[in-house]
Amino acid sequence: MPIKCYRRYPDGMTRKISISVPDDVADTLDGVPNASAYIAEAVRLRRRRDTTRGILKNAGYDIAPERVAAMRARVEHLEARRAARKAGTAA
Amino acid sequence: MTTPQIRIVLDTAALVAYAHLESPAVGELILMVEEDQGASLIGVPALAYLHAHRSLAADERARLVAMATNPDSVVVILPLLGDDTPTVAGIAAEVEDGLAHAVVETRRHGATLATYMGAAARRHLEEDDILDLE
Repeated sequence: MPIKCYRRYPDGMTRKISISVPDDVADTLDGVPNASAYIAEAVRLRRRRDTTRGILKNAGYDIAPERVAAMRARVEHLEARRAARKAGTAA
Repeated sequence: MTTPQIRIVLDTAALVAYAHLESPAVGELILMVEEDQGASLIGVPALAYLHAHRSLAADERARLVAMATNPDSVVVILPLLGDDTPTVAGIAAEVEDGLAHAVVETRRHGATLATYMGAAARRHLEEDDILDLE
């Protein structure tokens, strides 16, 4: 398995496939300039979500969404203080 | 899609605690970043990974490897760059090596350092750069 350093989505081969999607999804794809790229990005995000959650579950962690929200609030508070400091204003 | 930014940096102690199953907080950070929908990542400094890996038992090591090296997750390993090595070495004269590398990566990315070694980290980072894990 390749070890990932700080990089995202290496270029790879592409393959043409035919898929069926619901009308609302087709409408969305009709409105974007590159439907293939749009779908690829959506699939990668979903794959990353499933992989990340699978890693935590397999490790033995069961984390409630409320805990994630609380952690996000803590991090955003720090980020706001840091931004204020760097802008030279009081936090 | 914009290039994802390193939002959180983990140090050795955070990695070890995660692998020991003693840190739901690290898991919360991982899920938080995952919810950023590709905009951000969690960085694991190479030296922190190295030191954590060395200190762990086999089953704990497997947990660390799975968390830090899966190319489809939100966690990436941050290499120690040649230009940074003297700075990391200087900081490592005072603190643990993995924390020293984490300090440098935190500064580089303008990220938040998540650590159980807040007192040591505060010797080299600002208060608002540090998230004390509990």
